[in-house]
Amino acid sequence: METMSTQMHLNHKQAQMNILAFWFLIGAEVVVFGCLFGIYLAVKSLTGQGPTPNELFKLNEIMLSTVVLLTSSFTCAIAVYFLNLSKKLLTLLFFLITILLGLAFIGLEIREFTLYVEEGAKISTSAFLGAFYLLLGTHGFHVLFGVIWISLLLVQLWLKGINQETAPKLFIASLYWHFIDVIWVIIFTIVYLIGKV
Amino acid sequence: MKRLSKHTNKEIHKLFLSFLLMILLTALAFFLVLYQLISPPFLIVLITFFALIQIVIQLDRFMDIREKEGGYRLTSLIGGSFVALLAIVFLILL
Amino acid sequence: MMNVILDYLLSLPSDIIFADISFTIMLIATVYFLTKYAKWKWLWSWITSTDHKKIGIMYLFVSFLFFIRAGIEALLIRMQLAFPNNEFWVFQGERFNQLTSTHGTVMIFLVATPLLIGLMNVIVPLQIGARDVAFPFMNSLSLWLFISGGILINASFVAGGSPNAGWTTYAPLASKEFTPGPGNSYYPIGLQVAGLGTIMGGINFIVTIIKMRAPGMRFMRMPLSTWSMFITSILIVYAFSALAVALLLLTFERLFGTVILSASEGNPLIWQHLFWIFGHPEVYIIALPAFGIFSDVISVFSKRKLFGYPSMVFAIILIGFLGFMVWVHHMFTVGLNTNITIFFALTTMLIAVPTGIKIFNWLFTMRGGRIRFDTPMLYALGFIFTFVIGGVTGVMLGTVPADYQYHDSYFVVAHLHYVIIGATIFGVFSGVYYWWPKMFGKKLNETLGKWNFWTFGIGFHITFFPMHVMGLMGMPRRVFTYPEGDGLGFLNFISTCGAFMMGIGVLFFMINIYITTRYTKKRVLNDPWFSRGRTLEWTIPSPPPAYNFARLPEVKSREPLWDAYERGNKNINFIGEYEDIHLPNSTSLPFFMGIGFLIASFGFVFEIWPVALSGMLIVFLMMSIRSFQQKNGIHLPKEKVRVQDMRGED
Ligand code: HEM
Ligand SMILES: [Cu+2]
Repeated sequence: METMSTQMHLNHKQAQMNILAFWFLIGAEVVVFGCLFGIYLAVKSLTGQGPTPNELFKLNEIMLSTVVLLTSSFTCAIAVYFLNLSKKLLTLLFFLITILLGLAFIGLEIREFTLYVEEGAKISTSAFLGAFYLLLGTHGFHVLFGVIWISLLLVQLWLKGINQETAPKLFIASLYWHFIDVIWVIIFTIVYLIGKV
Repeated sequence: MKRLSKHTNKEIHKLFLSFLLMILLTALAFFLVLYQLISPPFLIVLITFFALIQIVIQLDRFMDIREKEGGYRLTSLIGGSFVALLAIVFLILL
Repeated sequence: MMNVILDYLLSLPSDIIFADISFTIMLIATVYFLTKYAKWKWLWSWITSTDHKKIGIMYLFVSFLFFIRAGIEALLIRMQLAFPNNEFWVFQGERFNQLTSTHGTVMIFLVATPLLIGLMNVIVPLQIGARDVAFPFMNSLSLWLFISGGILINASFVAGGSPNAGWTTYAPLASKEFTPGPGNSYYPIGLQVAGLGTIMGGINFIVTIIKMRAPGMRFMRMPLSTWSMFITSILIVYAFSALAVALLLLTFERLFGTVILSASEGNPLIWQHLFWIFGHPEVYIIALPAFGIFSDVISVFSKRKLFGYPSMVFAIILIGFLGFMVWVHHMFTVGLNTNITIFFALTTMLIAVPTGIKIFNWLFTMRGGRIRFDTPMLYALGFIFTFVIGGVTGVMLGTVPADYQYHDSYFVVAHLHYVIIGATIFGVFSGVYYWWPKMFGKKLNETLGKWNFWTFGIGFHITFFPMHVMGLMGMPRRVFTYPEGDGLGFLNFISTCGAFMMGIGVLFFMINIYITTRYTKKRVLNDPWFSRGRTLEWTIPSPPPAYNFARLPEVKSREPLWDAYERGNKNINFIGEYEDIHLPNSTSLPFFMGIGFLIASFGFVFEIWPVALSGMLIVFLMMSIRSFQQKNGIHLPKEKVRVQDMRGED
């Protein structure tokens, strides 16, 4: 067991099946977020008494969260790179950085939302805000889930090392993390940037 | 061992370049919007295009979508995108 | 204290008291019998099982219970509508709305879909020569999420009121503004839980079919049941995700006060779009597997190779693809842009083409065959007859100007039952009769089967054919009565009689199961259908051992077993040596996760956040335990497999 490389762990039949299943889950998630984007775009102009996107968003802060999340995606890729080299401690370290960045992102998002709410932009204020919070909340919840999930995996990695069980799990978690990042790129562009145009 | 580390160095360079490109594209889009340098319709097309490039980078470099056998991963993604696109188009046309 | 409870109970409406009492009696009876025959351990072994055959049987069993419940509701609906200005029991107005809404919701989500998933579970691994599904644990989880969501929706009747905005739960009627009670919160939350399980099931079967086929079982050699279930799984993954968003949206509207679906501030059409983006593929999710089952049954009972196998596969794929592009035909009358309407009218007509291809292929398969009219085949023939009628009314409905006349009338009710009962319910009956021997080792009684078919089938046409006419005469759907002078009384009465005949048909089925289980001694062989079997499931013992295939089957053609018969052999060749077989552990975690979801859902429905939170915590705890578990499974040594296999052969 000890001498097997990570690549062999990932090529194991069950691991391959898990990865494939995860890709189909991503297919499902694409539909989920696609529909949420559809809702958002459909009601974007229905701002009612509330602020318009242009009045609401503060681009500088969003830029910061974007950089944080993009960086986390990068550190996650590095972690997988070390996973492939079977370097337990480095893998651990970079995944740790990843989830810390993820936590920072969540913190920034919570701060953003409380700010909006203080300005009177509540979830029930207008259809636009409802769709905005629905979309962003779903994404934020995914990030939170990812943080918790990867933390649990890191405990296992710490206890068991890189083996047939932990390697595929970590790899799949990294896919999840990158996917969340992809979604964020779209949110950043469609919601924030275009909202400001 | 030496050869391995050389090879792996290249890998990490690649990852880093991808990351840099993504940050650059994000920053570019950000500044374009911040200073509204281009007329809106064109600007929207441009930043959407930037986003697309970033997505492709993530999928290709970080997520390993080009597997050896089958192409099931891409198929799953295309299927989901197809349904999502239908939903988006008709929700906008509403 | 006792007085308070008694007062409360007596203050309840009589139908709820009745439901409560009957439920209590059933509960007590179940507990009594389980204790009397010392079956608790046995029950637990089923609950915790990860064997795909057992999970499939549980799916079938639980959905059958829901079928009975929703069937009783159908009878209540029909009794209320039997005469003009009728006042049957309490089922007028609000209560009637709850009745139709739960009837539709339960039938679609908790009967039609899971019945087919049950058959999928039993049959797919056997047909592709696999020892299990790709993810046995997730399979069990799917089951318990389905049961959990099902319990929630079924409990709504006695706990605060049922959903009452139709099975489509259109906003803004379904929003808090117009239906403030908990009823319409049950709908999105219960279905969310069940839907989550369904998505997992879909993914599970996709991966199973892609990765676990026996050596030589190429895609173009898979039996049509498996093919159709494969495409269905793909549809499930995408369509149920759209539903998940719709349900999430409705949940937010009701619990957190968003106004996206409100008529004044948002746009209620968003719900309709999302719902039907899911809704129409759902029609094919429940129809395609039935098509597959009929293909297998027709070919076996006609003793002929399926006509046009490639075109059948192609038609299934095409239907699955087009199925995502027709949903607006449910929204023709909301006044969308004309071009959009025309586009969707065209795609709707287009989808009739592959369906027509399939019908002709079935007919050609039978042509010149030595047909046996056993119950599975009878249901297949009944299906062709019924489904053609349903298809024709479908094309009528797809004609936009005409739809303005038919829309929301009993014509639609007739159409939807012709397709759903004609395809799905007939398909499930056909499949259950066909595979019962494989599941339980005994054949269902043929005489009772015929009684079952003829009463159910004739009752069906008596119930629903008049509804076409009622619809054309102008009777709207979802109304609890109609005036004396409209001339609808006679047709409605006929329809009600037919409904009771269908009920009798279902009773025959239940009696059949009882008699077969209790009194039939004879155990069937591998292939109980007069040595006409064609596909892999008939090459192994009935019921199969936990690992299905002791050695892997050799697949060199589409119909390995039939080809072996042709060559004069009794069975196909099994290749390879006996090997140690790895079986998944049984596990109670999915069960407790289901309970966690149930608790959480009640918390959400009644907006008691601590309850919701603790339910979610249970779920999360179970997930963490699962994550840390060592998944060793059970190893069956090859000697044991060999001995068992030898014993099975004589
Ligand atoms: C025992 C046989 C059945 C009878 C007698 C029956 C009767 C009815 C009637 C009379 C309605 C119309 C209610 C109204 O519009 O006022 C109805 C609606 C409906 N039924 Fe059935 N039904 C039966 C079986 C089924 C089955 C097996 C399914 C699906 C698997 C099903 C699905 C539906 C749906 C989706 C609706 C629409 C509910 C709504 O309007 O929201 N039914 N049924
Ligand atoms: Cu449809």
